[in-house]
Amino acid sequence: MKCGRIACSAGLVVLILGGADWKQYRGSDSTGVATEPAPTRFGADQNVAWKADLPDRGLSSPIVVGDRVFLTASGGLQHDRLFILGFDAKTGHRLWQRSFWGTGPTDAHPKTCMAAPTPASDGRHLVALFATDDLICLDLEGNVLWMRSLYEENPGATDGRGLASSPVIVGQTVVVHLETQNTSLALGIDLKTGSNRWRIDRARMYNWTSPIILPGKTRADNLVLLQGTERLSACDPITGREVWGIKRNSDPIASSVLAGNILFVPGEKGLAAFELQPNGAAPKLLWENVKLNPVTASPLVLGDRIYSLHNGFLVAGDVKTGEVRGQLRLKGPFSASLVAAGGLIYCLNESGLAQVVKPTDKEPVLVESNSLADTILSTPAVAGGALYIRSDKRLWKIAKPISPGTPPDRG
Amino acid sequence: MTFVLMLFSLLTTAFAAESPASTPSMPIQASLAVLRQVGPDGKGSAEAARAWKALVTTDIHQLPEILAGMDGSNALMRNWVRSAIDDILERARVDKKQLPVAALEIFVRDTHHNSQARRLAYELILTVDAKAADRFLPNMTDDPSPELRRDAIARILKQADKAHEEGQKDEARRLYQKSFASAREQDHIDKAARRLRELGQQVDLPKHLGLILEWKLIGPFSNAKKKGVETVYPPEKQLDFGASYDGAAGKVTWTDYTSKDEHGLVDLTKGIGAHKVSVGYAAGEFASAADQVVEVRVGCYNAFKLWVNGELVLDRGDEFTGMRLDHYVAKAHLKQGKNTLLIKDCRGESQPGVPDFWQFQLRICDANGVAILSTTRPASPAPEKKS
Repeated sequence: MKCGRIACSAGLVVLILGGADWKQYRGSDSTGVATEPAPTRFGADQNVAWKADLPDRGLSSPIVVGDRVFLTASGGLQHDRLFILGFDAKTGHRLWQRSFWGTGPTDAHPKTCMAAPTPASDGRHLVALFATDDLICLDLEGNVLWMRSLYEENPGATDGRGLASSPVIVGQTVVVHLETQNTSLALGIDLKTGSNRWRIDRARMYNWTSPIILPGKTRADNLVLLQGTERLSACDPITGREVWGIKRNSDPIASSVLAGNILFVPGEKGLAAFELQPNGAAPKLLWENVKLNPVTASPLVLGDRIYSLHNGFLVAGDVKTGEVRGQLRLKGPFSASLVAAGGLIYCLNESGLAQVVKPTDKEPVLVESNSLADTILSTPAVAGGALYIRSDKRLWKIAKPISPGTPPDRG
Repeated sequence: MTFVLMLFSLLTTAFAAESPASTPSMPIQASLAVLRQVGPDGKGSAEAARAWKALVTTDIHQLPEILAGMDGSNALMRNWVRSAIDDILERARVDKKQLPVAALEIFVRDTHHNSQARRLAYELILTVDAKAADRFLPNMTDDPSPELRRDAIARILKQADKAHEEGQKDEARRLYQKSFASAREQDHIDKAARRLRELGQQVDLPKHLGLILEWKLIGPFSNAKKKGVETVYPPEKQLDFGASYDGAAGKVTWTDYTSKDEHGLVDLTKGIGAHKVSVGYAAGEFASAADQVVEVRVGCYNAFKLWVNGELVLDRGDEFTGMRLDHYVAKAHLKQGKNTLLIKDCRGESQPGVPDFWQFQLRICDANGVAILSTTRPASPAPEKKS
């Protein structure tokens, strides 16, 4: 217990001093971009700080909060065994594991599983959502705070291909987007109590995108973007009120990214760039380009370029005009979304090949290819100069290895 | 200076919040009683979080008492307890304390306990005694725990296969019959049925499963742009088997259809025609021996709706997500005598690279998957040989 208090306090110090966190899907700001460089050369035996075995499968990304890494996994014959895990970011020691039984159906495409949504943290709470519609909140020590069976409360809120939308924490509200072909909804949940602040119906369409925060002038003005397959909605996270919404056939898999006041939304007719407007007005369409439209992976903005994985190419587009400025053929296929560290883009394909790309004014340039020789379907986390990559049954930290002599964990 | 004060304040708060005096102390039964109060919408969470923190301090030798606490509980409560057990086990590992194996064995054998709890206890025993399965499984072919029963049946099937390979046909037949009678999952049922037939025994699979084979079909009605899913076509308003209606391709009337598929597959392309992007209806009758609540279990490749006696019991929009036995389950109330079933099967736009079927299967059983048969069920037709 004493060690726990000291560790918790140390964690607080790290947070206050601005230690690198990656607190939700594609990072704390959902852009996929970290400024600190990470290793460009790595593999099974190179620049692997540690690797930890996982109890079962998962497509969810790791998240990093201070000196901890958190992850979900799922498995079992009926696919109803759910796990939330906490690791020491320095050593890879598993600090704790919490197991649960799924309370909703476990239908999914064989490629995915129940641990597909990525957890989210505000630095004190850890919120994990599973495709069984189980939503669980713990503190960073693994103590359970609240849990919800969203399926029992909203029967039918599943899709035969599985669910993957990750929750997002906006202030003191957890926003969950459960848009399905059946019961279809979005929820705003009080982070402290686990109770609904609001519930809104959504169109009955399959959707696997994740909400992102649209920052306002102050935190009280923040909105949450719900990328529905038929409607793009910016909602007040406290009330669920749609502040603005546009009818649009957005992509059901690749999620939006915000850069400044430009919102990039994958869609049926192409990747679209919208300029956010003040006072709750609907955004203004700047351009739309099918050649920049991602297939599965969410796009990424670096500098004045937007990058997408489109039919085996990494395509670079001008953020202002949408013109394609260059492209690079890569080895796919890709399930992981793009992330960037120190100005370089990391593209991990499903076979575990990590292709590191350097942006230029014209064609992007491949600088390294690294093989992890493992199935990678999850988007990496990037924090503190390290990559945290999750394969089907293993969690890797790609960074300079640590020195020996670290104490054992309790797990 | 302000920053330093803020940091100091936060650190002292952290220490104060986790001082030993604030760790809750609660007897096991009191903790479990609090956890039993959790409900929807986060109900009872604050109290449950405190009770959880007290429960995790329990010694491992009290595990059977904690597992028993899951009896009669809801799924949320069981998850609160399940996660607490993780912490108890972790502490025990660090403190080098042993599992109370003997007490856990008694717990597993008592079928009055919650199935998930019993399964967990069984798995914990296996971590220290891999041969424990030989002690438990022979008596678990009809166990109320689906997972324990499945393992028990898998074991018998393996024994049956061995006997079969060694030419011990009578013993093999006996074991396959035992498996067939007790199995509840399609892979085991199918395997046992296949082996029994190889050994010369007749097996009526549709009857064993309670599959409905006799239907009346009508269609096509339009499902352009998926609008047919919510359009209320005449069969939804009234079942008049003598009527004809305007369909998507001219006048449509009800036609008799008998599934000859071993798994009761109703193929509307054969019964109505190979119409794309269409709605078809299938109506069936079920004569129930008594007023009873049953499970209606459906597999359907398309978006569909199911009514039982005019009440909508299933409504799924999933398309092209595959099809399997017992995919969707709904409870339905049957009255003694005649009951009507109506399925609306909505074939959508085909997708490249994805099979474009228009089919479903439906069976009626109890909560354990044991078939409930219509009192007027005709003999099953000879199965259709698949090409």
